[in-house]
Amino acid sequence: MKSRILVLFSLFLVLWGALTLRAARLQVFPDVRLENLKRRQFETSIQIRTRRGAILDRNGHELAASVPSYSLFADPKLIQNHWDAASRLAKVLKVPSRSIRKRLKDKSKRFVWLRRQVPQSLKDTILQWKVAGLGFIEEPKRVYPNGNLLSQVMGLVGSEGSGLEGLELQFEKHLQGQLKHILLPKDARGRPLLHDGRSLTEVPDGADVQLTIDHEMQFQMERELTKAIAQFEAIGATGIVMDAQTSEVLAMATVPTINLNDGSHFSHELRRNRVIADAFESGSVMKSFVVATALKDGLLKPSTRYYCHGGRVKIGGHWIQEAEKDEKFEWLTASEILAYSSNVGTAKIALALGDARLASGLADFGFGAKSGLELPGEARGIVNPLPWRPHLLANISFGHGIAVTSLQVANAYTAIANGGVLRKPILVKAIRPHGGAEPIEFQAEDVRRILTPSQASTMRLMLAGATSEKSTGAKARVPGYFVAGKTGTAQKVDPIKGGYIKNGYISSFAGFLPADNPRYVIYVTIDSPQNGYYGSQLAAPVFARVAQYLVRRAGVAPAQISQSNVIGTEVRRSRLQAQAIRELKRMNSDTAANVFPDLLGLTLREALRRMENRANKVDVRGHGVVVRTVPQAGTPSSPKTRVTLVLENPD
Amino acid sequence: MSRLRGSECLPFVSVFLLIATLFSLVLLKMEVRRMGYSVLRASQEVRKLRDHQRMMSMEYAHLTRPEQIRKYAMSKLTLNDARDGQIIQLTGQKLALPQ
Repeated sequence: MKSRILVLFSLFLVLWGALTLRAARLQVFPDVRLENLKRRQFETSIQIRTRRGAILDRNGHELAASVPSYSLFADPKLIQNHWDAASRLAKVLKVPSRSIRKRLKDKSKRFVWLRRQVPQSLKDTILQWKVAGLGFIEEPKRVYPNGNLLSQVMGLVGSEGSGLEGLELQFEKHLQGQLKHILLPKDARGRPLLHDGRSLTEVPDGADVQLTIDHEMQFQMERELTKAIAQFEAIGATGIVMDAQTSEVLAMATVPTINLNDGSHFSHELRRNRVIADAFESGSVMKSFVVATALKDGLLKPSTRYYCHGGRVKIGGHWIQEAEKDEKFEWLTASEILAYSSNVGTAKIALALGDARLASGLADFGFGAKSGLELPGEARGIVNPLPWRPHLLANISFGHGIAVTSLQVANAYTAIANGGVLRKPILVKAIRPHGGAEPIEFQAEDVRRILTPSQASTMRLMLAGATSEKSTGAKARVPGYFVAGKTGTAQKVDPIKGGYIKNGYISSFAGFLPADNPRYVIYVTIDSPQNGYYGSQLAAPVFARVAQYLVRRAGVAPAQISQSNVIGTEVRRSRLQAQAIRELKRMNSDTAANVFPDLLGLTLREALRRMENRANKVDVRGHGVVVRTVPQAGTPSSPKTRVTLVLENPD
Repeated sequence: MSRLRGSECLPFVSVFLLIATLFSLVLLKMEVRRMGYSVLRASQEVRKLRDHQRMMSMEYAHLTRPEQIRKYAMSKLTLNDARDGQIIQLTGQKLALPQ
């Protein structure tokens, strides 16, 4: 018995030993053929397309994001009744039945697209029909929830999900969602077998790109520019707002804008970001840099006087004259040259500087070179090579014969505003990868110091003078705030025939505020206006409206305190002050529930709104504003007190 | 006697243990597979919910765009742009007149 057991045991042992050895051999010694066989039998490949990263404004508001969508395809060979399928599809896709039928009829093809990027609801509807031969492929769809906002800066994404223009192209490497292939074991029905869900859920999406743009400022800028082109019948307008201290671009607008959700249908002309791509002769806004260069070289002080020849002077055989024939200036200080935008005065400063020094000064301010903003398609502008003939030198001094971009102008004014340092402007604040990686943050880099702080301060004062009451920039003023800036009016160059376009102008205004401690630099251009053309009349008011919005939104306290616009509360009580104080008292009294509020002077709607938290019954007599209340304001009242409001027409 | 019986049973016990271990391994493997299907379903649900959340956040961004808020403020709340003279700035002890 015992021996039989031992034999049986040994037999099992040998068998198991043989099996173990075979298993160990298969595991330890690789066999390519077996490996391939195993892979074919037990593994399946799944594709995971990760989401393209979002583009956010500086406050995290989404400007672009990818959402899943589904593309409908058909295998005509599998569709049995193509008449029925085509008519049903035509109804939901809202296309003629014939066009679908034509595609479904061709049985030689095994794959035809019927509609790219349909919403989930439509997909669910079609799947409910259970028509063999119809299927969906998941594809990401780029969505721009703000529609037209920041359209030319954002750029485009193609139907395959790759960036084609603008920021979408520039940050493709960071934004792009990846298509990942993962090998997983599969079961008999081909379903992937997962040990955990991470492979499907934790593949990181493309990084989010956070801009320095503030979407509300952008909206305001676009709105004002749109109003301006309608008012002045212009063909377009551009605007840029920069943070004066950090050189961050807060708004960058080109109007007309385009709807980004349908962007590819617009012409290239409309899709161009003209703030960075268009180089143009900007006119008198360049005078500031001529004066700044002369100031830096010690050639002038704000009080240095120049003879302006009665508004007309011959330079290099050509006449240089003021913009208006009635401007017959004789002696003007450097400050006045800026304030009155004297062409002759600026030309004389430029002649005193000479071409080499002026060219070097303009190059220092960044003209003729790319600013380095993170956007494709930035133009360098055109600066003629030296030497400059005297006539060209004079022309360049007042912004003709030199082509610059709006971004270059705004960035150069930022250098004056921030105390004299030219910085590389930035449009992207940070790149925020998903999946726990560290964000990459950006800050503006100093390029070079152009002016000393005191020279920059002098320039700011001189430019503040250019918006005084009798100056060309008067309409750019914002009540309560010091505004510094310069108007510009330039004829447009005809790119085909050469020379200037008749009645083609670009009106502009560049400036910053508050002039004593700048927060915002704004540059506005209006292209080919039909109703007027002077920057002082067209662009300056647009600048003022945008600037007013910005300082109020930022809560910048008015600094321009003078006896004419401010009255000490203890000295005189104007009607307005009394009204304001009464308003404050009223707000305080409203908080005391057992005291009847002051409703005098309010309309019925306003009075009832103040009473809405009280349980009192209200009788109303008359029309207009409240002139008497029972009980009187400030007297004790309970919820049971019946209130009578007596209204009278204020007239 | 009892010791002898015990030693006689040892091979059977060993075989039983071996088979039980193998069964346990198979059962564990099946359990892992079953859980794998649950994880697959759950991860698909997570993806679906994430997609839904994205759609919702897009909808939110669409509804809170400045243009929409402005339209709503003007049509539903009867608000309008401040005109000159309607804004009073208070600066400390001073009062700036209408702007």
